[in-house]
Amino acid sequence: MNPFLSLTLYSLIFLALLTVALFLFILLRRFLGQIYDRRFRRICQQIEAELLEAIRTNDQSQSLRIAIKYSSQPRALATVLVAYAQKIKGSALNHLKLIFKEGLKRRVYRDLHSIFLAKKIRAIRLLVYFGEPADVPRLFPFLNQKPILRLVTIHALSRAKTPEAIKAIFTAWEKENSAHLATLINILSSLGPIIEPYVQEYLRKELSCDKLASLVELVGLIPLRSLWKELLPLATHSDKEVRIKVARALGRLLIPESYPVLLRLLEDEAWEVQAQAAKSLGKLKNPEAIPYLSQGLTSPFFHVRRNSAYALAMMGEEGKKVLEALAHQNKDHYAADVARMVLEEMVLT
Amino acid sequence: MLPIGSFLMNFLNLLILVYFFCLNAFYFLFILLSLYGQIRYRRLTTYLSFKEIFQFPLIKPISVIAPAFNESSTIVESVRSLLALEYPLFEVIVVNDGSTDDTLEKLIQAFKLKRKNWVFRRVLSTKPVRGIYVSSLDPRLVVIDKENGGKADALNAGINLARYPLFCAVDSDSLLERDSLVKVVRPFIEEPEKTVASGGIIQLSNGCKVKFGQVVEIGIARNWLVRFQIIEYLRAFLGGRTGLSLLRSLLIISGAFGLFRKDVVQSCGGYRCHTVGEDMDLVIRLQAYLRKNKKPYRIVFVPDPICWTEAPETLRSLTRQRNRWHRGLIESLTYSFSLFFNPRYGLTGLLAMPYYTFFEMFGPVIEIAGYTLFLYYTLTNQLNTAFALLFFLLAVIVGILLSSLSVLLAEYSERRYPHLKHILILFAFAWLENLFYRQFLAVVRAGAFLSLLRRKKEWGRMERKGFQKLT
Repeated sequence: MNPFLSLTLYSLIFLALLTVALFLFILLRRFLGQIYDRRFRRICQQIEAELLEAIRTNDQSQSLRIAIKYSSQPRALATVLVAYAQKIKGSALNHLKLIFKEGLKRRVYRDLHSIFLAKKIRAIRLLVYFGEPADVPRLFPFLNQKPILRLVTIHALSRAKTPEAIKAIFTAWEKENSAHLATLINILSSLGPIIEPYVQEYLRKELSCDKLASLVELVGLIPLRSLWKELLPLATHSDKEVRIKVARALGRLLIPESYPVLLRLLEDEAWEVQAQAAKSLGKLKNPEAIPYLSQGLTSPFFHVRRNSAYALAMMGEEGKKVLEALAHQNKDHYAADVARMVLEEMVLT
Repeated sequence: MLPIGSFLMNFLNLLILVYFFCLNAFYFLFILLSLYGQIRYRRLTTYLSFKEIFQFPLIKPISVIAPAFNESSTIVESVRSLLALEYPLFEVIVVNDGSTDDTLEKLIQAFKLKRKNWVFRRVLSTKPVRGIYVSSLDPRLVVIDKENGGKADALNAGINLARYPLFCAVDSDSLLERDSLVKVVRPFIEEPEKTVASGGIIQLSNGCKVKFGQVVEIGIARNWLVRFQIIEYLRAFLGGRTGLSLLRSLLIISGAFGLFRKDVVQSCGGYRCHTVGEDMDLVIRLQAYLRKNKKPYRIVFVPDPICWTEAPETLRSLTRQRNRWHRGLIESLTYSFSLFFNPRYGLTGLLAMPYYTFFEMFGPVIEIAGYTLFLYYTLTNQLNTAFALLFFLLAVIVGILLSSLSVLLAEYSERRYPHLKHILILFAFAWLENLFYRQFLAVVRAGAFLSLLRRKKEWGRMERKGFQKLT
């Protein structure tokens, strides 16, 4: 046979075999996947039935039996535990914690150091739900690892509400460079009002401007209303970002006494601070601010004009009258346009 | 033949051989990397609940911007799909870029749009805006009606009006999976300070059944041209982009579905209007800007959030589309040529730019040169038949191998083809693709150089059938 023809033939046969092999691989993968899924579902259903029975009878020994019986099926056990942890509350959770402690904990600790990312994620996720305060420090190293691990760790930490955990998170925050600040603020704000003493303590410390700004943001986010006085000296801070955050936080805290501070911020040298102060004054709904806000509508900065107009809209009937007057004047068409836009939206809502 | 002529011929022969081996080496590398990336991603997401991401208090809201030009047949379905997205806080901005059909009228009718006198800041200059409309049924929907200025101009108009810090550029003829936003935003939550852009996979909706703006049944169209394109999309998105993203050398986030940080895009001057490849151009300029200003950044391809788009079903519209894409590629690469082999731009300059220039931009030209040489040698009786046939055979075999591996990659994707019949069809077209379709595309793409010389600029109109509804 012609060597070229035979080469062509062999190549085509090789390719055809490869294609068939790939197809068979896909076929086999789907087939095995189905068998695995069926088996996995069956085991999950078994665990679920036994778990519900343990919860119904409040039988701790039954939970212990489940942990021992299914410790060789960590994936199924973990799936059921996580699913139930999201659904149930109260003393029933103790059953889940017991099963985790006796059936999965040792494996989870081992998996935290696994070379496989997926195993680490599963371990962290389980610690989110069933870990103890002492487990929190184990999670900190993951904040400096791959992004996906950080994401899971953040979620885990945002559920750790014990004093030890909070202290550890604040220590990490203090040491943190600016790259991860937003992430840590994410965690801290999830913890809620229980972090108030720590925030107060750190607001009085010497901090870098970005850290101070993020801490002020935190006061408004949670919100920690009793700390509003701590923010007042910061309204004159040399850093623009800190002043912006103070204006925003005061708008979230809604303390009537903060009105003069916000008024001062409305006249700040930075337009970003002015815009934020206008917005916050609107939320405060103090009618004394109306003349100042109507002046804001003639600002050369778009965001100051827009926020002032919205703030006036929040003031109710008095603010609406000012907006209508501004909408019908011809001196400043920018102010008129913004006033008309906001009036139109007021009708819509 | 003159010695110089002979030298040139030999040089060209060598160039084609080297090109062939390097290109396929890259393709194999990408496919292997993607296979690793896909499997890893699939395992990771088994243990990561995207719904829990909603719980983060600082999750950033998103403005979804969909430019539309004569999209009358698909626009209502597409907008419904956008409004049905699962995300805590988002708005949908449809930009009607001076359509000459009834795109705007259909939107007004379907969503009960009301004209508004909105005031916004023109950070990016665009063609005049004729009107802004807000839906009375769903206030999250805003429609901008503006004079025709091209897709880039329409996107810039959308950015100007966008209220939120992130914006997602989508094609208005596309359908997004319901959880695609929450998946594509993940890199922005993981690394909010560094991530500037992320993109997702595009799959073809031809042959799929659509209900309430969602693909409910995956299918394969009967049209052969579409089937070829499915293989091509699998190779490009599942293979190419996942691989390039792993090598941190991604130069393109598809215009059909990409999420960006608004402030960074605005700092770069937004989309450049004088190019047809605005998506690639933006990503290259973003990288140049961030590298120049020494700001650490991350551009990520997430191989999971799926955007469905309708592929051209006629040779005419496919030719137009590919010609436009290749013109866009040439324009983007030549505009940012200063990055080429420039170590100051890191991997972007040293790997991504040369790869795209040599293999993507000049690829079709070199391929056409190969076919021309083959013809020339045949006509002048200089052809080494055995070598030429062997080389052709090798090219076809490697091509089929790569396409077949892409089918395997599809098996690991989130929305895989459900029936084994589909897999068989895909394998069959992985074979056929290398015999007809590939050569056709090489000619079309090489033709883009000529179109560029003629200064052709257009949206690349395509006849749309509309999505196949579930009955």
